[in-house]
Amino acid sequence: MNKNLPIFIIVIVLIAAIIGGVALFRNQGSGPINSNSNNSNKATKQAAAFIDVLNKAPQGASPAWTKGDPAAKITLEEFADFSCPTCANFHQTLKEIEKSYGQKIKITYRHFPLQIKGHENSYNAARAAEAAGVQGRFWEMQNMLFSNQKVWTVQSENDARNTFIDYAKSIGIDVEKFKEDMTNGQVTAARVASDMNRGKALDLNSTPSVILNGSRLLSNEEVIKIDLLRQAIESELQKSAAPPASNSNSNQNAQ
Amino acid sequence: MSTSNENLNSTSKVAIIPLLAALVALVGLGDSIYLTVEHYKNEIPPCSIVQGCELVLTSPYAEVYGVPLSLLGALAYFIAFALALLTAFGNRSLWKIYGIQVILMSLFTAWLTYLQAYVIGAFCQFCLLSAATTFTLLLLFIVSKLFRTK
Repeated sequence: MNKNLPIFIIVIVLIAAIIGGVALFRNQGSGPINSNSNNSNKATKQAAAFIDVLNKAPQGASPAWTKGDPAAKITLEEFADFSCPTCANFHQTLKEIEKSYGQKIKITYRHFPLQIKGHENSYNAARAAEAAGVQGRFWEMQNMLFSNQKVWTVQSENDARNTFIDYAKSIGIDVEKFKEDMTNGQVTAARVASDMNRGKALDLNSTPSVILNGSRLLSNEEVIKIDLLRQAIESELQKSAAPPASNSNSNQNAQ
Repeated sequence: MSTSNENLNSTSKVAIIPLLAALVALVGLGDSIYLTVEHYKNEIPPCSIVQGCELVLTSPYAEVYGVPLSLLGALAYFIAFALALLTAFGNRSLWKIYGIQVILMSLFTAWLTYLQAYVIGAFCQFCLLSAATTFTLLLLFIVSKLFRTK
């Protein structure tokens, strides 16, 4: 018995480790039910204050880069940094959201390169995306940058620029013009600056920061977990469908 | 010269230390499982001006050929746990293998900690916990050797 006991314990630990790992993996979105009951007075005040700030903030680059129906009922305005791993994940999340909702959602992309360690190439990446945008290929470059984030974020400033030029080649745009626009272009600089100014006015301090329907910022959880983002979108869709049917007069007080 | 045949004299001391080592290895196992799950969930907190990004777990060093280091860590802790437990229950010869493994783990951990400090320039809490665990495992091995020589 003494000989078998340790083996027995080892097997138990192995099983517990596997079960524990799987359980931890499945344990997602444990608190989504509370998302509405969180709206205490304080939260509503904060929400109102945020809308106020939004109204006063500069508009950002115009016209903005958007996807989906310009008149869509649901809008997502994303402030992102090309070096940010969470933004690269969110980029994939948005692809899923686009698949599910198609034209129903308007997605806006704004530059908010953070000046933190490891993000030395963020600003130049934003300029590269805008330089591709001058030739009408913003989204292709945006996708390229996020998909290859691990490649160019660790490169030196010069190497990263050359990598961006390679991306421009593979996208099939005029490389000389791209180079010029990326490094010296007034338009690209101004557009990135405008987006950043909007982000600063909104007092953003992390990326991705995503504004839902021009009214509130998504929580970190909603940004990280696609299921929670879907819930947020669904509840906005319901809201936009509900008012004209029943309480069109009192809908300002209702929420 | 008689180092390998001293087992009989120090039975009681050695049995407690491997048991402790097994418990410490369990902490490391839990920690690495947590990190592995987080890796596959791909739920990284947003990058913040104040705290920066989660640089460590998203760095190219966090994976070897697509396998997260944390998974390798979990495997290593599990083996260390098994070796230590078997030793505690009388299979003394395994303690040497445990020692070799723990020394290798410590060297690797030292390199990972160096990466965090000087290459990535950021630390990750659960990676540091793992480092502490590995060094504790090594310390326990060293202590057991010290007791033996007395």
